[in-house]
Amino acid sequence: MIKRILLAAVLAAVLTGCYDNFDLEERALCTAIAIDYSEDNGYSIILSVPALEKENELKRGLKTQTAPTIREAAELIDSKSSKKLYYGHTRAVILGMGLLRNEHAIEELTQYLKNNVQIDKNILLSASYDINRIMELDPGEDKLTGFYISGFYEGGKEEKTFVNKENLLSLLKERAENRPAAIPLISVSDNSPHFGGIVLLKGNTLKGVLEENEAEGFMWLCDRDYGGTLTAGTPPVSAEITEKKTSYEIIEKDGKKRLLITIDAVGNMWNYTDDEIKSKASDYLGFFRDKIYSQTRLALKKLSETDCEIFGPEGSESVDVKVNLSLNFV
Amino acid sequence: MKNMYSRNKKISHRQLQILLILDILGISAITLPAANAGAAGYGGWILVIGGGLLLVLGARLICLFAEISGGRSFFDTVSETLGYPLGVLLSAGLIIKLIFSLSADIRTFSEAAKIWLLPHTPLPLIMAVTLAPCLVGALYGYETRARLGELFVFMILLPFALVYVPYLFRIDYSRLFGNIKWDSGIYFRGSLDNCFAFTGPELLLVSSGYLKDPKKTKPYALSAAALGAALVFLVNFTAINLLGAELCKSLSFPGAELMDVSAFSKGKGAIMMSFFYLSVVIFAIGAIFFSGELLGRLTGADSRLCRILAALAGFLAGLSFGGMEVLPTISKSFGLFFGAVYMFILPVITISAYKLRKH
Amino acid sequence: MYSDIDKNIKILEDMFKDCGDLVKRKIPVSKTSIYVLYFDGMNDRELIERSVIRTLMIEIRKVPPTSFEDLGEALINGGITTADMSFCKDFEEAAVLVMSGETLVLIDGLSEALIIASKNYPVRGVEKPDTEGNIYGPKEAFTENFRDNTALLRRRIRDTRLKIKQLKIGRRSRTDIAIAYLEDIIRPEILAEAERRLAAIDIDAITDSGALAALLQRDSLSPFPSFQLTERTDKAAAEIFEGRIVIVVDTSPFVIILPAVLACFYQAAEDYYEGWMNASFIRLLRYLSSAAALTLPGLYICFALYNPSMLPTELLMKMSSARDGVPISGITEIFLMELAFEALREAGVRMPQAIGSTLGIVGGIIIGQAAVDAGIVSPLVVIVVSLTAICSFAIPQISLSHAYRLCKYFIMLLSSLFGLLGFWSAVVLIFLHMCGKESFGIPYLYPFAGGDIEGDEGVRDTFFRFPLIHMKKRPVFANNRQKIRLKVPSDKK
Repeated sequence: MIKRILLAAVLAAVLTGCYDNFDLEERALCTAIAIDYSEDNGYSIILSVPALEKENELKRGLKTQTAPTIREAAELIDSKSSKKLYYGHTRAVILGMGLLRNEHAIEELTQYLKNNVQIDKNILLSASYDINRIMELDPGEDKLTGFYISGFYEGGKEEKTFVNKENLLSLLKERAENRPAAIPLISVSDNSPHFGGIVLLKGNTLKGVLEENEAEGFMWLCDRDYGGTLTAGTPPVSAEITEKKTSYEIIEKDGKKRLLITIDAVGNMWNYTDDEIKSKASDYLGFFRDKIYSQTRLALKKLSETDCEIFGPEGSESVDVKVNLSLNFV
Repeated sequence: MKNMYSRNKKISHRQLQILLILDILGISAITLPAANAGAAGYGGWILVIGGGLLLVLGARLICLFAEISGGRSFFDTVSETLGYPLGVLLSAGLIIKLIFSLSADIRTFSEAAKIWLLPHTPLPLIMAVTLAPCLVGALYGYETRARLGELFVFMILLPFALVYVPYLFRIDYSRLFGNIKWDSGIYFRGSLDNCFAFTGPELLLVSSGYLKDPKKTKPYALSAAALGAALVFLVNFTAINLLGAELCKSLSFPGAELMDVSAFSKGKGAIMMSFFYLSVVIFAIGAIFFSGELLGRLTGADSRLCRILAALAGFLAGLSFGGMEVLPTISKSFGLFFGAVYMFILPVITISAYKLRKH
Repeated sequence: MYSDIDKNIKILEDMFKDCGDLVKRKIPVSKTSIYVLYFDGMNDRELIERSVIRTLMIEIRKVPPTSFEDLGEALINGGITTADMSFCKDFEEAAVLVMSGETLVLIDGLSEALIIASKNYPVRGVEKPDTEGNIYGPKEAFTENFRDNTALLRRRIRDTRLKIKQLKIGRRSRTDIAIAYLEDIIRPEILAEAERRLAAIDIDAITDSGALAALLQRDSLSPFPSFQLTERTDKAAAEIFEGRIVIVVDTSPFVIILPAVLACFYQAAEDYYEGWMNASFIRLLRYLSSAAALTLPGLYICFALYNPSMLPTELLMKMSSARDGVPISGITEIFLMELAFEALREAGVRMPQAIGSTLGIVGGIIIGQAAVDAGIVSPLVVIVVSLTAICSFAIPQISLSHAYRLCKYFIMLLSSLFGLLGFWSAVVLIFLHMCGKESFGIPYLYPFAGGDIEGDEGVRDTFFRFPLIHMKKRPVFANNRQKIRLKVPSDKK
């Protein structure tokens, strides 16, 4: 009796099964997704599906599709290809401004990303005015588009790392708690990506865009690693910021609670002689400190205007910013 | 053949401890944060502490029950102290509770497996594949389950530690209590729900006949209950604080979603989740085994056949649930009734009846 | 037997009818006659002719013909110049002894047969172990000769408590079996069980110790062996010291060691001859290799076909482009490659050595390389299959690696049906089987599971081999009164 049941179970297992088995060559690895929306055309998505041809030659394989929903668009791409799309290796999602301006589209997008379990919750999000240009960026060599973009975020060899990072998990968390989300805006010039600002999103509403200066101020305020080249003063001089730390503290002042944000930064200035340092050191320090201070103030002001007070609960006026900067002249 | 190791079907205290920890951990660990965040927001993890304390109390009572039964079966103990009709009724109720817990666990795990591992495979097939090794394990007997637990405890706890412990360092402790709203009613009710959501202690009611020394289980059972609850707490605490209460509430399996974002298991949530299978197996073997034994004792049928029937019942019950939208709600109300009966009311009544008779 | 020699000769010659290798001769000696019978080639001819026939002829002449009743005593006292002799009254028994190489002597008027121990088979000498090589330590292997084997054991254990019980199994083969154990260390219940199982065997012939061991194993449905076979004399002796039973089977160069739990199969004799650190490293390596040998192909199926997010993107793309144009599916591919490798291995074992190495080159390099170049299989599959093979060779006992081989296919099958869930189901089922298995009452996974014994040191000889100074106790096989094996001076105070 028991043996027969077991036999039946084994047979049932063997005769069914294999529903989810796809051979490697049947899968199309999607490394980056770009999604935009317009009232006329609905959603347009661009997928980067690179493939290694024989002789190890990389084909970037951009696939474009428009459809009334994101899922339909993805399914249309899927049905046109002989391979099954696989998002387990997707590294970057790029959102067009058209999509971010439409509340329904944002809702649709977050539901799509949340329910697609193949997509990693760590996936990086970014915004762009022109998704086509970003996806068509040719990283050259044998780089994959998604990796190129996520590499741009993570620093690596890129010159500038003044980039705010926003991943899917933090977006979902911020939406659920009705807190503003700050999605980095990428622009393209000279066939390379640049950090062009920050898109502020609260719930399903686009609250505003921090321009380049404001975005840099935002970065100074963020409790994240930060580094890169800072240019200030007249005539302009530049320093390389190597370390930065931001700390927050609630202080009581005149019976009011105020938020004190302290920014500690360390940087290097190159090619300076002893005499120059003696005469100009304090000037330079002043330039940079002022710049940081004014940038953060700009950012706080914009955040307050757009109802996205990420750093201070009671608006920018009750937030104090203190900048401690030290420079090494090398 | 007289032998100190085998064929006596008795397990040692260390084995009991391991089994209890794995039973309590179960699959509920990955779904509980949603319920807890829903009930108490950012304070959801406090419910687990409350639930854990109640669990230890319940385990304490059950241990007293086990001492009274002293190696006899559950049915015999209850019918001797409370009378035959109650013995039959309570045994049948326990069978139902065990089979329900079994089916809920199998269904929950299969739903998660369908999402992460086998999206195109039909759910009944996933449930059957999940359940089949558990049935085989139940047919092998209780001692085999204990040995399996000894092996699996490392295979489960190691990835568990590697994934969840590092999260503790990512939590912003300065804002830990900032978002919590205090309401004693919610917290009490939530703690009870948590306590009854832990599967496993009820197995202690029936397992006294399989222990080498049923009179000395107390310290082992209590420490196991505390440890098991601590592990569930770890999942809840990290999930609620890292995902945020609001997001946590809206997810079906927040404990598993969290796995995806660990530095160790980045993007490998599927793999990490499959480790939970081992702890599901341990509980399911126990539930099938004991409900089969109890059924056999009640009906006089062959106990192996009863185990097969129990597994089949668990499978069918699991199929009949309406999916992840309703399963937690059913589990909650079911757990509240049966948990209260078997964890607190039954032991207290039995112990008092026993003491009265003694006098 | 009868006192009439002719009657006896008739019965014996009827028994041995048509046996061309039989040597028989009736020799008249003064008023009586003697009859000598033995099989040619199985005994020491010189000994029989010089020490038996010649002396008997002389001694019998000295005995007065009236006192035949005292003949036996007279012969023992001075007639036969060899210590090893006995009397036998039963024809059947006498025939068995003759067939095992003894010489039978009948004397007219005596109702017993003299059995002279004169066994001398054509045998292989003591050689190096073939299947269990080593760098350090003794290089003596058992041979096909039963007596040599028991002597090799006795030589290493000079203790009166070493018991070597002999019996014969096989209705027709009448194979000599010896059960060797240390009387005071062994668990009596294990010995009784072993003896009971041996006594219950009723088979026509035992041709090798492997066949006997299989008959001793209770769970015939298990792929895992519950006995060990070894040809190393030092290993067999060491196991006896730990309280296990060694069964020597005539005509087999392998002895059986009972009981055997999983951990035993990872212990090689050499582990105890070198430093503990190195030995521990090797141990750990063996356990990891066996895990790899068991699971690698299954994991490959899970990761490549079900959950590719586990693999790095670049690798995945290379794998995917390598598979472009491969005509068979991924699952068929790995099953085919695994089976092809098993065929290669099997062919290599049976082939003469000279051809074997050529086969290795042809199979491994040419076919493997050519198949990849031709795009019939993908390179990663070749790597997985060969890695699995290498890992499976790291297990010192071939019987265990054979068991793992079968389990590997089971895991592959379920993995290919249900991905990771199938993989874990298979692993759970295999572990369940091992957890339920016992060898002579000892849990098969002792000391990993079920070894909850107070003060037990079994775990010190598993993943790691502790320094010998910390392995003071014998493992679970020894009985509780004889647990201490190493006494350190500081302990004695």
